[in-house]
Amino acid sequence: MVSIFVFIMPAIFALLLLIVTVAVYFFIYKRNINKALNDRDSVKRRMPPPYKVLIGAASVIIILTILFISVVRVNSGNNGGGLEDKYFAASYSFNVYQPDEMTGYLSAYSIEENVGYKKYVEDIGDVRVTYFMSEENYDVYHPGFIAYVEYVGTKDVLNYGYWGNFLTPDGTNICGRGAAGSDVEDYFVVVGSTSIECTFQLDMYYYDSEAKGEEIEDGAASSETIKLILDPTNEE
Amino acid sequence: MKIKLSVSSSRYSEIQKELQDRGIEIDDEADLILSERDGYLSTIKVRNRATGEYVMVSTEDIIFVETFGHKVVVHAGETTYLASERLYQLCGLLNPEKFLRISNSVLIATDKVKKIQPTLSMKYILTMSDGNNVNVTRSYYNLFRDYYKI
Repeated sequence: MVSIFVFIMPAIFALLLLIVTVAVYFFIYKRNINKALNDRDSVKRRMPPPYKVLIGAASVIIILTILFISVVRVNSGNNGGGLEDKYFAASYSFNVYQPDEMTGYLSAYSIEENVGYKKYVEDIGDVRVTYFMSEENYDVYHPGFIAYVEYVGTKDVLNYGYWGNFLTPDGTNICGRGAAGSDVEDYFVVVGSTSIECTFQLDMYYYDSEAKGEEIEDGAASSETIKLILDPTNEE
Repeated sequence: MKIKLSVSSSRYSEIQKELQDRGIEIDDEADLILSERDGYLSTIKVRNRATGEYVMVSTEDIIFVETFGHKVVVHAGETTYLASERLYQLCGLLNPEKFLRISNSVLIATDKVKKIQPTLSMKYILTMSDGNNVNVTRSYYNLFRDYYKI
């Protein structure tokens, strides 16, 4: 939602600008006409009366203010359909790994258990997701969640795809990305983190052929979705 | 028949005699007015509002004239007088280069304006030399601006 200040602040500024403009002009005009009172014969440039300046200035300022608010609204719309400012300031990240890519610090994490994380297992259609949610507050060193995604169906699937989205609690999309084409192995791992309370939605796709469609879900032999509720403050 | 003469003082006596010889009575209270083309009054006969006395007031002393209902009040210096003519009649009798109508009820001496106060509407507030304020109304706004070239 666009901040209310996008409307109030420009309107207040426009009103102040109008008042100052008219007040200054009024002062100059009054001085000018009283000078003319005593010197009617001299040739001088006639100034428009204050009411015309008021109408003209008000029209210009109103049009500019409306244009300004429209531009800000369009830009806010392009940045996420009216998200609150706090979502723009937060950080979001996730990466997807094959089992042999879980090296370095990632090698410390396991599908069995992880210290400081609470384990959940969900069977959704042909997919089993074993995921771990951090029990600590958000920090930049440890992931907020780790999800192990296994295909447990009966089809001969060759490769998989995914699309991960971070959503606000009411379902508005914040950001996301996806990919497809990696070979199916025992599982793939999604490691991610966020600094703000939100939902991570993972759409999982398994393909039984090499054929690729235009959309990631095209040709998927199996597709499931899981949503993880992320609360980096871990409030009860 | 009674006629009021509104001519220059240099021709007044001559015309008065001509009319009286023809049996026409000269009366300042008469409804019929005989006036001179391009001849403007230099004095007008008015009645002192306080004393009721009839006096001749020079047009040079007039600051402004205003109407209250049927009364036409002439402000000249610190004294106010009542005129027998209607305002529109005075507009025709007084020199338009020195007098300007600024509303349906006010006629001013243009050299007796002390200050002009503009407003955000089509109106000016004039402060006259005797301290009184009079308003230039919307109907006479542009006329006033053209006269003073403002």
